[in-house]
Amino acid sequence: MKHRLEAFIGVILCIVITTGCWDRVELSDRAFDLAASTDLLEDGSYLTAAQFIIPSRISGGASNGQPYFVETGNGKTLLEAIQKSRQKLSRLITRGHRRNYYIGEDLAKHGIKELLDGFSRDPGNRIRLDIWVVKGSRGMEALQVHYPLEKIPSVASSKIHRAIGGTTSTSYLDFMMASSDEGSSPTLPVVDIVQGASPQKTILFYGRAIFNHDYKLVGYLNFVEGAYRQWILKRISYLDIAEEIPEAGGSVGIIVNSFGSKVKSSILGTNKVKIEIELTGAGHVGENNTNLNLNESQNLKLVQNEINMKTSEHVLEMITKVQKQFGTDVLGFNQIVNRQHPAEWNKIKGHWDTIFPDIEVTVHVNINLKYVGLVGPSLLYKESEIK
Amino acid sequence: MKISGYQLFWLIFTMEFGMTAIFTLSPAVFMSKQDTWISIIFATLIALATTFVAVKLSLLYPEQTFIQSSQLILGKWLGKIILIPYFVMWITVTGVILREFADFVYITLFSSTPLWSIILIMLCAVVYATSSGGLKSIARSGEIIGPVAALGSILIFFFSVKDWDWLRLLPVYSNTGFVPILKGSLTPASFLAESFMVVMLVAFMKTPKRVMSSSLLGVAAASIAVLAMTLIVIMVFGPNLPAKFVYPLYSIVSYISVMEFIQNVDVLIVLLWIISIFIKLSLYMFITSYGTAQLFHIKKWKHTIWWIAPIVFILSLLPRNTLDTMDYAKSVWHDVIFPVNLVGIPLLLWIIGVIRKKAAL
Repeated sequence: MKHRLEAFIGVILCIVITTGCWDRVELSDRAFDLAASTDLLEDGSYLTAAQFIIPSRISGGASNGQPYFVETGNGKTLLEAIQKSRQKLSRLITRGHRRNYYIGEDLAKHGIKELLDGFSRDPGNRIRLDIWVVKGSRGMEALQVHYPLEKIPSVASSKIHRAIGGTTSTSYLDFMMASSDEGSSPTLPVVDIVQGASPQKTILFYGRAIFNHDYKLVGYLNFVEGAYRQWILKRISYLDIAEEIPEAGGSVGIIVNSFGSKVKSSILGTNKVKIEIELTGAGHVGENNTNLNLNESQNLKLVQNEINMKTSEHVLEMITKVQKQFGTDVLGFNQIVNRQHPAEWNKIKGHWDTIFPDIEVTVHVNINLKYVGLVGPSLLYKESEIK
Repeated sequence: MKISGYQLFWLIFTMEFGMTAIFTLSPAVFMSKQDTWISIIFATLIALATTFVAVKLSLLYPEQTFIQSSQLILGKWLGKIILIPYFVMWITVTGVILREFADFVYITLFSSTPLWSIILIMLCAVVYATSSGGLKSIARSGEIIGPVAALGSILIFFFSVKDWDWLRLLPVYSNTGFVPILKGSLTPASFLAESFMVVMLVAFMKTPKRVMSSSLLGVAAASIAVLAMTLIVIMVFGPNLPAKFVYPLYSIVSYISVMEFIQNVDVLIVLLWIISIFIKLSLYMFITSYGTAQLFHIKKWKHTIWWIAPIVFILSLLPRNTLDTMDYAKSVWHDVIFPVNLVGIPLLLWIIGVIRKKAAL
């Protein structure tokens, strides 16, 4: 009881100091930014747009209108553009839930260097972010698409990406890691705005955008090419492959759902590198448009070998395209050489860009078909036609 | 005011882990890239060695604090002179830590709360803990807070598993080399060597025999936790990015997403940081005030708190921005205090002390 006075003063102090939080922002004073975009205008200024939730429309079953709206602003720098859009907003922008960011093709070609710093600097932003390039269009258009399956349309692109077997929410970090790494070049996923069956436009997951060291867009990989790249990097969980089997006069489609990749490098002398890629996978037959009875093991082997051979060719075509057409290492070859031949890497890392296009690459795909599905031969054929 | 070996263990673990994990990873990764984990192992060895010397030194006179034993070893005047750098270190580092804490909370949570109020609230808690029961109440809070901090780091560890990529740790050694790895270990070592403060705590141990095992275990446990955090940072962010983040561990935690529903858990790391800082500040506050009282023969040591707390408060408001506190950590703590106060003088005192004791026999 000696300390009654001290305790009393302490309690009073606590009340005085800690009542009323200086940083309190009520939910009703926040505007939740779920996705945003930036575009380059003709006059060289940035146009930024953001998709905000309208909280009163998101709850309750009967919705009268879209539960979101898009607000824009433009300025010389990104922050200035955001400032312009804030002049139109009655609430404080909160980005804790933002997962998607769209960049127009013009801006991507012009270079996105000036855009990226803010994403990691401001603690209000999340690093777990997907940045998308909108092919042949403006980033803002991706925000304006009304996507019927999702209440908030901007989550569609990352959900599509995940549903078709890609990795989501890591593209910003991957981009930064690739840019800060000696030799490698960054990539971003791509969406395309297409005319769907309905009168509205819809979002299509297109593939991968390739950037050079100046953060400028140099080209695209389409979906299958992008998937091959992801396979090499072990970042894939699902892929459909359909190939013509000339011996059987038809095509067979398979679904691959487990993936492995081994990349081996060897140094063949000064500035000459050889890369051997072995891609493994396991899957099952999805369609069989030939007269082969896949319950026969030699038939299955025929199909398997044919698909493996053709896929190897396609993967090699993709790699050659990256090497010759883009000349940017987006396949992680620099890291492979660094890990497997660290001493040599220290010598050649300075001129990796000139070595990369001339790397000799061999690809060997080895998919193991584990199941043929519920039928052996296709039910279409007569007994006599089945081989 | 007696503490047990178990309490000492948690005190050392808690005060070392939080600061080291948040503050030293960025400069360490800047030096030694994906080999930072080797640096941390080096740092652990350095810290264990300095702790060993500190404990040995204080066990020469287990009943006396550092203030008394230094005078016993070097004589009255020289012993007092050698204490000056320690008082400068204790008071300045308390102010700087207080400011670093406030800056971190300010950046990550409360950007419109005035800085002085964040500092003042923490300082009040520290003063209360120190003045209410001295080391005993600090040790008891350490006993509760320490396991929470350990649990928090285990949670961070498991939450981030899904984002690990082991290949990012490769190649080992060849991209950096021996000198960068050693240089990278110095900053973590200078923070882990703060366990030197046991020289002031041994006098309060119930069983001085357990000091050695408790403090070495505390340093080792904190180092293992820091090592785990280092591995996470590199396996998630790769060898180049962590050096560019001011608080890489905070960025890792804000990156966590488990099953799409455990997200935005950055508060977890802020909590870990706050409780770790609280223990550290309380310990420094206790040491400074008790030491001051012993030095000037003030009977009621708690009275000195009311002088030291305002000084520390003003010191913490002096840095103009976060770069100033970083400069303190780099040029004062790392370049002067670590080699002189934490390694040089203790080693010298220990050697002289051993010789004098032998001579006395």
